[in-house]
Amino acid sequence: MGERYTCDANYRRDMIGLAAFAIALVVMGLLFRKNYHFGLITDSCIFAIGALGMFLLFGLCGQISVGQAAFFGIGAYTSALLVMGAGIPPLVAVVASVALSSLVGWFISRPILRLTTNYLAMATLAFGVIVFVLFSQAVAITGGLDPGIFGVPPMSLFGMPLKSAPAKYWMVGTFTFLALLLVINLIHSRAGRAFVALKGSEVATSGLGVDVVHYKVVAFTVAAGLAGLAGSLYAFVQGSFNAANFTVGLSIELLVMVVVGSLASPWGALFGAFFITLLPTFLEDFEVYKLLIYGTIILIVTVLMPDGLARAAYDGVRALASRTGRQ
Amino acid sequence: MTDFLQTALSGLSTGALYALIALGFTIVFNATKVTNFAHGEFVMMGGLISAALVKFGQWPLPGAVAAAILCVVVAAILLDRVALRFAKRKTVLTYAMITIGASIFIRGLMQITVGRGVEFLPTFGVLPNISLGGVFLGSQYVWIVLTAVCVGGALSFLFLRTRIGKAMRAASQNVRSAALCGIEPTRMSMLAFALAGGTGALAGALIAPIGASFYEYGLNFALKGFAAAVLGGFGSPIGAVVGGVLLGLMESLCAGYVSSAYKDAMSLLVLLLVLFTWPSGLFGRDEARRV
Repeated sequence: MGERYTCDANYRRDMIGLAAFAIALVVMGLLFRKNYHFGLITDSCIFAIGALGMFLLFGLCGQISVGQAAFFGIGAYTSALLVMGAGIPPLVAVVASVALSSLVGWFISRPILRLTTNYLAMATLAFGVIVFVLFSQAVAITGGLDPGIFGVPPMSLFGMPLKSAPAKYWMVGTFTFLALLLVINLIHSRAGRAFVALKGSEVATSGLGVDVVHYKVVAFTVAAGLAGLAGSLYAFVQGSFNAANFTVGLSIELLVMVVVGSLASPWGALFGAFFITLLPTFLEDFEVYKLLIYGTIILIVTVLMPDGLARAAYDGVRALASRTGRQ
Repeated sequence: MTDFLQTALSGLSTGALYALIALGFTIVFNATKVTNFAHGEFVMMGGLISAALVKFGQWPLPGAVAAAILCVVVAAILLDRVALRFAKRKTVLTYAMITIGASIFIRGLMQITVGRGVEFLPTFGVLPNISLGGVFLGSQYVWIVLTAVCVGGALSFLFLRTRIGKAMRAASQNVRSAALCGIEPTRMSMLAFALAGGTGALAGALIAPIGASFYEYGLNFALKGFAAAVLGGFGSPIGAVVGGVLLGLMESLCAGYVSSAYKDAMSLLVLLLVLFTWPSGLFGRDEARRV
């Protein structure tokens, strides 16, 4: 089953990783000169937050969701509408978006998590499509597919608008850091141990006196909240978006990020988010081949490397190292 | 009254299509216990490949449809023999992820080979339009209803009465004991995927003249077919047909009397409600596990 992130040594290792991530962000922020580079990392970080939620739910807890785009969209629309319609300060709108998407997640988690595997996948998929239909048809509120929502004011801090690409970068980077901090601490808490246990066997876990339903609901709610946070930041960074941004395609992308990285560690989710977001910039005509590439990646990884690409590479390197060490 | 009858009839005929798609889920599930998320893509391929052959290759319609069905059968067998068979971890969730991956792969492949255009297939013709007391059913829908009835009947007969159908069901119950009885599970699973691919492609070709074909339509087919199968009771061929017809009826009545913009959301809401409250469906044997 691989290593589990439960003991103190692993907690220390994760905290060191978090520090390394923070230093990497700061170094990149100081080195970058082009807005384009700032934008790339900003986007990667936004999706990383959503992918972290997916990791908690799918990687750690074993509950698949193919409907995370719904929460992403709820976060984006809530932020945009609160700031533009009600004149609420952006930071408060972010908090409200996270609260609302978590609330929706909590509300549907009870019935939906009674299902397992295939049925859970289809039910979350159906939920995602229903919410997408609402986004695209309730034109009076959401602007539908065209024109959607435009002119969302940038995030502001103490009345200072964060309009430039570097300012957005620091803002999103900070949120990503906080999300990682939350997820790492959650993994190493009582809840995190319960997640890992119930992925192994729900019956055995409840036999140990762990309230399985409660912890599944917690995982689903936190994952929804993180997707909502990502959506909210997306709205402030992009400034304009429409319902087409929140299709099943986005849910699949979040799923691919976790699968590509590693199901067993938050760093896998982070790696997957950066990999999938940065991939298009390295390939020409990416839009045309996008689906084929994603499909190939999922097929290869799920068939041959069930623990993820990053994990397989790590194991490969370790096997190689131990072999050369013995000689 | 005529309005109502017309709405109900068009619902019934759409429902026949959903039934055909749902049967594909049923066949694969009955033989392998795998839920094939790529089944919608089989349907999409059936329509899109035949439309492309007719339009770009000037093929005659029957030849194009036959070729499309053959292509999809090959794709389905490849999915079973290559992707699912070589899976390192053989759990239900891994199989689900593999078929999700396959569905995205197929979507990408069709987008590159056929293109991003919305294609129409010419109508099949031959069968007449039916018009009775102000109620009208187009010839293409007559095709759909007849095909659904024939395929549904044939599959029920296959699974319930023939040796090979029983062998397929046995293989899904317990691979090892089935093998001990002289059934070859890998062959059964390949046969099931081929059958599902064939019926799916046929359904896709049947709807292509009316609903057009496009590389992104597979998801919708999959959701409708799955909803129909769940409504009828997952794994039951009769349930798939009844569930499909019921779903088509509900959707049509919703579009006619409530709102057509939300008709797709409506059928998915039905799917969620059935899963939450009544997972065994109409004819099922408590297959959808609740915790």
